[in-house]
Amino acid sequence: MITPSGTESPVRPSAIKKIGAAEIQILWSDGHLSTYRASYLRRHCRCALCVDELTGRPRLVPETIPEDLTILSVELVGQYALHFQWSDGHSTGIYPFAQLRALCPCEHCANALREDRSKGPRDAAARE
Amino acid sequence: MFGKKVSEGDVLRALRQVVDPDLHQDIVSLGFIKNLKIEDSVVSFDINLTTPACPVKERMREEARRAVAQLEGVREVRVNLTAEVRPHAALDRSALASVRNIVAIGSGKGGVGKSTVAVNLAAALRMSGARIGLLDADIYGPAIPLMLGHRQQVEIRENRILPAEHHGLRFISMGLFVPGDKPLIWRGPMAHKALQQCLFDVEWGELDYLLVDLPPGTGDVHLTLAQSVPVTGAVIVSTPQDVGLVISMKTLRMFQQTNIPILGIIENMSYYICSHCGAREEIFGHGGARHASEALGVPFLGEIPIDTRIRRQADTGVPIVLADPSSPAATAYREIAERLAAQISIVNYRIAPLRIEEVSM
Ligand SMILES: Nc1ncnc2c1ncn2[C@@H]1O[C@H](COP(=O)(O)OP(=O)(O)O)[C@@H](O)[C@H]1O
Ligand SMILES: [Mg+2]
Ligand SMILES: [Zn+2]
Ligand SMILES: [Zn+2]
Repeated sequence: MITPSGTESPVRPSAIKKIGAAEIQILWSDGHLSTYRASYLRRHCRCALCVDELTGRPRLVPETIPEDLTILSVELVGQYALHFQWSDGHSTGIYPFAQLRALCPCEHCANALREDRSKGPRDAAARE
Repeated sequence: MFGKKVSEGDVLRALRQVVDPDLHQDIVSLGFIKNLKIEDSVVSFDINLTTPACPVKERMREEARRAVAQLEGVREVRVNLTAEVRPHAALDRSALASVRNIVAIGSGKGGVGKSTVAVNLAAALRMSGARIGLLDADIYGPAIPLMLGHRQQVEIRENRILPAEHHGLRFISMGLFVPGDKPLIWRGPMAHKALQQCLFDVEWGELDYLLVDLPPGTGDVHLTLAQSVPVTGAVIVSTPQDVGLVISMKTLRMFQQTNIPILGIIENMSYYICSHCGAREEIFGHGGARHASEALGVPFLGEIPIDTRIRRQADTGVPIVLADPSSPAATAYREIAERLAAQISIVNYRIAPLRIEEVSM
């Protein structure tokens, strides 16, 4: 049978700003505003160098990323992701908007995530 | 002449009553009215539509004519229809600036008639006056040169590849960019490179629509396309078999995950037309695509009958839309092409392209 689940149009950015050298701000189509520090995004890189492709375990040690990391350049990948060149020379990661939204560090999103986690495993949903 | 002289303001005010049914806005604020002239109580103007394949153009012309004719001091109204396909706003800054819209055509599995749909929609859009390119990216079953009756030779001029051209359609097959003549196992990097060559190294010239016939399912070619160029939207072709639809859902989700709007679903091989009496015979399971579209909130673009002449025409290299434009099958394709063109206009009107604004601290 056909189920429409999981096919709803995703929230998409309506504005993307690079503020200074170390901050990205995304205003989403639902009105939510996310602000990310460069070092925070760099630590969540999911490229093959940063995450073991087979085991899914992190290869990157977050503490090795300096707090004052900056963005040398940021560009769009098609209409669905961002690609960064970081000041530490790393540039292999792609950040789809869905992932960026899930990474929103604001208090509201962090709380929602914590509540969600306490309700049980959300592995499948997180991977989608 | 006695009485009131009509002014440009009067005419524009009257024309504000005419609303584009797809864009839900009046044709004056949409900027469609051009070359407005009033001479001797004769009012003439152009309505510059967003596509020559506009399904409601005659209706808008008539509404506009009537709205102006009602004005006092107007003796005659001359409405001229023109069309200018608006580009996807993110394309004008890319390496494909001469292409206004890239439209992906996908399906859940092979053999559903995706390439036949691509070729006939291309021909229908061309007949309406649009400039069309076809990129055959189905590496598992390149079909477009055969369906257009053209054994393609690549010509290279000043390091640029010239597309083949037949029936007024420009086209190229990704298969041409594979070295060797043995059947190939396509791997990601090779498909990636071949698709990029077809996009960026081909001298497409000015195109209103570039249709990309994707391989069935999901894979590297889809991802490369989504990553390389701003795609205006995607069309999904399915058949009445429920199974096909379920697979199509995967394809649909993949487009959504890469932020490519779904322009609509087409149901192919939907019904028979009796070759003797012309009556329509439904097929078991027919209508599934329409229901799925409604459930998903994506446009349903239409149904195409099973008709052996569709296959025969494809096999002989003259798509049925060109060979027999008044046949029921050709009419079905043409109506779908018009709905598709309307959806493309809607997407370009509604969805602002993304850009990154740099703000200094
Ligand atoms: N509506 C139709 N009626 C009859 N035959 C069709 C129809 N649509 C496609 N075909 C035939 O079905 C076969 C598969 O079509 P094709 O366009 O190559 O599919 P795909 O590109 O999805 O693999 C071809 O022989 C084609 O001529
Ligand atoms: Mg095909
Ligand atoms: Zn990384
Ligand atoms: Zn948040």
